[in-house]
Amino acid sequence: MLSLIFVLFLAFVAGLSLGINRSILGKLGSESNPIQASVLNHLSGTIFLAVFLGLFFDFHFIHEFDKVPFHSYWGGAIGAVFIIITSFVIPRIGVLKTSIFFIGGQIVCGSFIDILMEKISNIPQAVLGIVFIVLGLCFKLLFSKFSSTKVA
Amino acid sequence: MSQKAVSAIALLGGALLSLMVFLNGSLAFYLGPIPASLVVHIVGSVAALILFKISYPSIGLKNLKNYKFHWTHMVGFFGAFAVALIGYTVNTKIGISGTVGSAVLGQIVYGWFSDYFGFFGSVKKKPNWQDTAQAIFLLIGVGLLINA
Repeated sequence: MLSLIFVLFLAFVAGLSLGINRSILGKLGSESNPIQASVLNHLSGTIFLAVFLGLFFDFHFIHEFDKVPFHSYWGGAIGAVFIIITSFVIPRIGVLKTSIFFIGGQIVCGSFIDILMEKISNIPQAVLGIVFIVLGLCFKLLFSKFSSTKVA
Repeated sequence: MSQKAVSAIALLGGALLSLMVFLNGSLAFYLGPIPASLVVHIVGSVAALILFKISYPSIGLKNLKNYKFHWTHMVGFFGAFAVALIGYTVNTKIGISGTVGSAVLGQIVYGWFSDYFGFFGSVKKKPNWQDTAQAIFLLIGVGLLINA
């Protein structure tokens, strides 16, 4: 139970870190452009990780490269392409709707992969969980229509 | 393009993100979370540089002479940290759905702090009952997902 809470906390911290990352990226993107921001994001991340590994660990992992299936390497490329989707969608439907669709799509597809990987066995409960998350995401959208104050 | 079509693209974007989390997680399974995050960032750097060259063909290496460092250019530190953490958590019992759910909660809590203190020049705003209700719904949803 404790280890489960610890893992959930780590994923939560990852979310905090992503929040900081996205708000700096947004600031950079508005000052220059989203693709330039993506280049800076990936290059500075690479430098930081290389220095960190060099100082505290080692680079022995390169001997494991041949064990990794080829498709596993494509995640980074998806991340870079995703910046383009973000900069296309946000001006057209706004930040709030974009977040709802991004997270909704992510949760549904993620749960589907978990079902395939047999990490989810109780499908009705998973669907209920997804409904709660999507409802939570829609809260501001639903109530902003009935409120005269602008909801950011 | 119609609003519905753009919304469909956004949904597809979300699906792509979970595919990315899955692929990065499988890389972390073989290499470990920190080396996997490094590989993800190297591949991402190459992809971003190619996209940049396609979008701005006239900008070359000589333009780097005018480069001025600003602390915001270290933005990748937070992404690198997050990718390593997620690489670890995806390979545990909570899987992709639990990881994504908890990370979304983290982003929302960060959003509260950002609104409250006005980080990076954003407008200061106090969290209201809708924000609290939103967090409670997300917590229940994540709780249901990780036990499913």
